[in-house]
Amino acid sequence: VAAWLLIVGLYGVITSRNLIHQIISLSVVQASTYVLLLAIGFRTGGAAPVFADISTRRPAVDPVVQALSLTDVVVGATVSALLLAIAVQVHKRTGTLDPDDLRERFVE
Amino acid sequence: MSVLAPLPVAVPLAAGALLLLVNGVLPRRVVEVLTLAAVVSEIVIAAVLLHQAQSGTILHWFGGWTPRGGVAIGVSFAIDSIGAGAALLAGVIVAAAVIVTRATLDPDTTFAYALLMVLLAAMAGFSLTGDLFNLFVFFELMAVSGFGLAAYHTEDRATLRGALNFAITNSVGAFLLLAGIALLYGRTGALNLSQIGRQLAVDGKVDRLVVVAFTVILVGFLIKAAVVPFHFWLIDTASTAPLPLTIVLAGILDTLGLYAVARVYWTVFAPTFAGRETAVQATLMTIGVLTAASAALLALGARQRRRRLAFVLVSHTGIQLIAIACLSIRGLAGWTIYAIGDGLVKAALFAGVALLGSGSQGDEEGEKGPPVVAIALLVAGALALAGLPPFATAIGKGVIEDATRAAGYVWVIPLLVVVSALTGAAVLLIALAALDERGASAPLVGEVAGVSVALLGASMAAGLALTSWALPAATRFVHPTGTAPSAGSVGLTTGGFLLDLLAVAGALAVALAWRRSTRHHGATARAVLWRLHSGSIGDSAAWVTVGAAGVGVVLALSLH
Repeated sequence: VAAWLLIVGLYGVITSRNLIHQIISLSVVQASTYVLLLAIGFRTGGAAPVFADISTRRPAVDPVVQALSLTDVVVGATVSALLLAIAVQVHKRTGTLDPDDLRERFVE
Repeated sequence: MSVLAPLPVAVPLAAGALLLLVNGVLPRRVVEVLTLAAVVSEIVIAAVLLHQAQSGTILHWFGGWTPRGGVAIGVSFAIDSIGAGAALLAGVIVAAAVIVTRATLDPDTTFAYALLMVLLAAMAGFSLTGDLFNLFVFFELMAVSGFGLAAYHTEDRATLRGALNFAITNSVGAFLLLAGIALLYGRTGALNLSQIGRQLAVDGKVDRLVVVAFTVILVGFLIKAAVVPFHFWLIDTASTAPLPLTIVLAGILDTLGLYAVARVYWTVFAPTFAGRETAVQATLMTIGVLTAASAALLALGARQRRRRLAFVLVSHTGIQLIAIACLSIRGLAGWTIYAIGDGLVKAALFAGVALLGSGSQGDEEGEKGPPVVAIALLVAGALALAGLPPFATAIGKGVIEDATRAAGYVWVIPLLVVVSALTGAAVLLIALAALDERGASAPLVGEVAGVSVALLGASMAAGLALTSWALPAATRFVHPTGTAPSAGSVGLTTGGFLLDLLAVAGALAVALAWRRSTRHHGATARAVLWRLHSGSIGDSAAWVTVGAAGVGVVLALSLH
């Protein structure tokens, strides 16, 4: 699943004709890393790693990767927000959201 | 353990937050003083750490979470000489960027200062950390603050496009890196760099998982370092971004990508790959040679000044990668000298080109004058790029040449000379062209000129100061637990000196010859290349994918 998301996302980034679409594709690429991280920490029959109400002997999924995913989510949100802000600026200045259009208008 | 260890990150980070807080409350002067004070204190702390690290690697466990029984729970900083040196260089370069900010981005400078502070904190953390995931976090922090700076001039279309390309390509790199981290964690259950290295060595097998992890991590860092074919974003960004960011990009950011390659290779993968070094060596060497040669030719062909400099930047990153690819202590020592000297020179060159008036906003109060200073700077910088002693580049290149010979790549030495000559010539051509346009006098911005001169001077001084430092530092980098590193110094041999002079002479000759032949051949080939570099984000991402796949296949075949 992770590899599939990575490839689909990259395909989206490469072929996109719309900046917003391109940025969402990037998020898809990032989603692949969440899936990969969580899959690595998964243990069959594991509970959520909160030991307040269950015995500490029960198998639990790895909490470290969950922490990593959470950090990753924060990073991803920052990057997407910034990129979308730039995209809004692009639209304001040039009236287009097509990255190739942006290029052709500039490079004569 | 040193209480100073977290400060190179904490001080600029706090300063950045403080700057935003006082924005509009305090007069601009105070804001400027605050920023400079933060940078200077980072430089001082990094220098102290550098001094302490000479007697052994400094370990700092955050929150006192020291490892139990060889298993690291907490997050640590592991500071050795090269890491502290990188943090110090970052401080110096950012100081230069802060000074030129005032001259180029007036009047709304506060946000730029805050972003520069965050960038500095991230670079310092990146150099000092001993934890793989922490490395990723600082990698992203560097990237995000870089994107912010790249998009600073929101009214300029080219700048926006450069920023977008920068952001998207780097993000893809970061996610590849993260995937690699996840794979390594899945195998070893560790995030601490040296623990991963030990664990992998205990397993001892080089299977598909390790190869894939190595590939994606390598590619992630190489995207940051902007070597061919991952360099497209840098050409766009460096030729459009505001001056402070280009100075940082040229001076240190791409070097840090290579630093991470070296750090992760030696700490994590080297024990596991023992006996298979030649495969890694050949792969890295090929990428390095490809980068150095192709970018040097493109630099000569480029029309715009800043694009030409950007190609010079990429080309010299290739030389640096060649140095690392030797995978020897001597190569690493040469790399540190070369990277420091080269970074300073390139930063100075971007400042010098801005003086010519292409990208600079021009300070109204700046005195008007013919750009004699700028031209002199460019010529000096060009000679430094070609490797004129006593610039650090000359000494570093001499050591790298020795190292490549020792690694069995004798044919790389003439290539190094030619590449230096070509890039030097490319910059000389900028100076010559500027000489022609002398009638249109550009405004002379005192600060920018001063910074440029200071950076060139620092590069020269570094060349003299570093010779006895580099070898022990590199030894410690490769064997962190080893006893007292063997003292020794590297210097310029007679042969190296002659080769350097040859490169300088070559640069002069090529520049003059190129100038004679006004019309060049191979127009079709050039047109194809320019289409490739047209700055499409999709193309950039496609090349990243192709490059990553290529590196992966080569490594998979050769490491098994």
